Amino acid sequence: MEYLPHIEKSKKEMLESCRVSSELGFLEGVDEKFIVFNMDLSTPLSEMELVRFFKEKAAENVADYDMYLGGGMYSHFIPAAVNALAGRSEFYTAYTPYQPEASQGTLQAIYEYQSMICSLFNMPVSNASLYDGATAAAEAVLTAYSVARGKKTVVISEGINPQYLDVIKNYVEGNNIIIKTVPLSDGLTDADSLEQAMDDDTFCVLAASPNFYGLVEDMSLIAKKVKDKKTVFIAVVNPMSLSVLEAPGDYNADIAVAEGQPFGNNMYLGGGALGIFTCSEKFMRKMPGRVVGKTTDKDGKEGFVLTLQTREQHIRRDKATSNICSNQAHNALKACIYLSLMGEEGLKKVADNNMALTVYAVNKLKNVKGLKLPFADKLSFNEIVIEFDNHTSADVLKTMAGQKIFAGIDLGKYNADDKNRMMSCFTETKTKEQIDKFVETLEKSLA
Amino acid sequence: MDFSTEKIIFEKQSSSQGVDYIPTLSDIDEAIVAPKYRRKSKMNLPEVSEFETVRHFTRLSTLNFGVDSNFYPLGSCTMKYNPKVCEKILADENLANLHPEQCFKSIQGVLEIMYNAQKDLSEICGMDGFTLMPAAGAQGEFTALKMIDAYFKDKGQRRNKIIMPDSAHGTNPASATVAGFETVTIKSTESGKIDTTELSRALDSDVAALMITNPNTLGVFETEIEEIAKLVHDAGAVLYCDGANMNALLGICRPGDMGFDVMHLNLHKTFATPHGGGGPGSGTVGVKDFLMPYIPAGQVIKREDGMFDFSKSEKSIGSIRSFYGNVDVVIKAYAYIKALGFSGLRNAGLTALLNANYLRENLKAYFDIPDSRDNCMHEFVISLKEEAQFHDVHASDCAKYLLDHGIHAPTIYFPLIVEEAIMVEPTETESKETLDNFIEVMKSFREKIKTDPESLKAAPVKTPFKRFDEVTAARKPNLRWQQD
Repeated sequence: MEYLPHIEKSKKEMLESCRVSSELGFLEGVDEKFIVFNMDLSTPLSEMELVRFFKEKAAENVADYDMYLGGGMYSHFIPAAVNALAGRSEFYTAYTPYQPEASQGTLQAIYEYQSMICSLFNMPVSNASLYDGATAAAEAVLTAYSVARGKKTVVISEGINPQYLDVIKNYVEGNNIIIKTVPLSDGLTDADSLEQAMDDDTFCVLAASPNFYGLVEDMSLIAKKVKDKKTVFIAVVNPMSLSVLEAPGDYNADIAVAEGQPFGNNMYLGGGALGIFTCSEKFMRKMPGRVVGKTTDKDGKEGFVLTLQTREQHIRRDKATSNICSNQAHNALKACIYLSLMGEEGLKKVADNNMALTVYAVNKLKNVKGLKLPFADKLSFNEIVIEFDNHTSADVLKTMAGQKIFAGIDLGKYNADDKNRMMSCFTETKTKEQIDKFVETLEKSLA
Repeated sequence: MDFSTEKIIFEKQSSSQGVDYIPTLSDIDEAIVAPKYRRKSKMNLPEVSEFETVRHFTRLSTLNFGVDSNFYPLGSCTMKYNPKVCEKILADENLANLHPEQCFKSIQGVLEIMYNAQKDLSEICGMDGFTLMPAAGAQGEFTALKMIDAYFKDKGQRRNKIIMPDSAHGTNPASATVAGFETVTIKSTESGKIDTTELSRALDSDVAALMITNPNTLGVFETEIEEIAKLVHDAGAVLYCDGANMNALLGICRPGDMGFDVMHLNLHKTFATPHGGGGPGSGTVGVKDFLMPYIPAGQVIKREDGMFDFSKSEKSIGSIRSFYGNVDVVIKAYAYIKALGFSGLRNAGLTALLNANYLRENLKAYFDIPDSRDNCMHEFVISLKEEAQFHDVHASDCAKYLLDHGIHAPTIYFPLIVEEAIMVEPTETESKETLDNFIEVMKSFREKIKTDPESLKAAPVKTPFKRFDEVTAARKPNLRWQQD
């Protein structure tokens, strides 16, 4: 199927107008040997065949097992109105709002998104989005570096998602920035160890809460230790937890980043990402990415424009604060709509349910033979670590999958020492009955 | 009646249904959260009903131009029609709800799609392999530069410079900086092409790569491309193609055949995925064999037993973002490739050339098009240098005039090598009617410059908003709503 507009008559007129006999006439100057006349691609399909093909391919995936997977992307309930509104073509077929008079829909929605994020994070500034949580963390380090005055070291708690660490390494290498990681102590960041790892060359420190093992960190203490040494503190958070747990602004984080997918975005195998980036006023003009500001038009009418553009690549080129251009704007729109629908009470209920269901799971798992819960005495948001006495988590996951349950993440993938550890996530999409089934099935597979 | 006075959602108040989207748990204890972990500050989210939320965003949407309602002749952006079937395909729960940590056996369908997307994009571009991980063109550039860096380090060579022409898109030098390279800019020729003398002079053993786009940002094919490739390769450097202009070559030529070693594509341009008001896009990167060892993690391979899985080579640069990329965007682009096939892609490319040349041919009598050749490729650049000098009418005035006629402005003030630049790219999906209308509107703009240039300063007047005070917006930034 093609989407071409011209009837024969029009095409003929247009070619005549250009004084060529065919479109190939526009290729003068292109060496003939470069022009191809076939490619090894499949036969074109009619729309009906295309739909059938993708339906079949999609059906070769499993999306309807009971899922207890987290690790950076989360299955949350998305109200129907989110996709209904975001699916309006005025939103999704619009271009970047460089012409504000023709883009107030996009611009106002982004301004509202920024406002909601600022409020939720208790931070004064938010940008219009970055690619994902991992690149947001990387960009945060580079932002801190821009005011580092020659210092080169960043201290990172090993509680951070290991993927984020990989991405940060790739982004900071170009500036010869040194990364020092600090191991966890019994699943949590030890604020003293973090402090000890800091020296005169440290320009920023990163810690995550909940951390990669789902545990809530004492961010106030960590932040205090870092800021007492006049060093930039970057917090990596799960935004869904902020309606209940400490917001980054509550402990004076300088920069706070997150993966915003939990807000109204389908996961798409990791595709539905949204990089949230917030910061203090001090970093506003050093911040990466686009940002929308309020202003008035010639008639004094209030409206919105992309602003502080002199930070960006199209103006500052090699001196830009970041190379980012297109971001995840449409995903930010979905987050904004989600937050509008949920409101404070709705968001709080989601967070409360996540935590309550996780506690429920923990209490049931405590009675299961063959496993331990290494961090059961600590506060989790919605993920817990299960340690098997006599099994690898790879084996357990295989058995559980046979019972149509994706039981968790094999932590052995990220750390060779964790081959017998699995991390399971409990969101509001689960019922008590499903969790009962999870526990029973797990118990049977360990017997 | 327009909705331009639609309030900020925070200023609306109605009963929220927020707590009714998920069930209330019964017989379950709340988690106990020690005060020190609890949120300290007050949250300030809107309190609105679902209906009012729907009204609000529906109204906001009416304040937008979109490709579905307006012509967007944005040079270098390829604002072509976004097929609705691609949106429908993505709505399938068996794609939407896949978690990236699911075991590979449970995602064979999407892995096969990704594997074939890698393969088809390689075929279309003349490359040996593709990574689907970069989230946008700029990130694709960064990824490619990281691979180039890894390649030279592996060979024990230290090469710190990237050469690019003065017509390069801003992301090129910005990406080079993030990747740790120094940018060396070379002056283009009169017709905006690579000056091979300048290039020879700039090439030394410290140069890692030359980054160019073909056709260049004036819509002109680099006829010297073979010589350029030879110069670059003789200096031991790598030739990079910024694929933003791929629509001119789609199904007609392949960058890999011309000597390019690595390139990025903008799936949200050439492969018809929607722009979304600023993303998500996808900046997939194609490479020749010698760069394959460094390709990012998340490469989809076919195992001996026929199953698909992810793989990461020993020398891979690792991850440049979480998980596997904007998989949703990749799936849409793959659907587009499957729908069109080779013949469809080729017809799209050829029609893109036809539409651009038709506009150029009919506008060249009225505007200065600083390119002496007979035709262009998929886009061309008008210069309003004279109009600015003699009538104080600028590219931005043309942009606003077009908005009043329901046409989104073309790209303005880019490329930097043309003064008062207006870059026009109609794409292949626009009808003759739309193009003829654009020609008439541009001609009327020309008339206005002669008869009433002052009126052009007032535009736009027919949009819900007039020109904005961007100066105050930057000087006194108001980036969030706050309660008074």
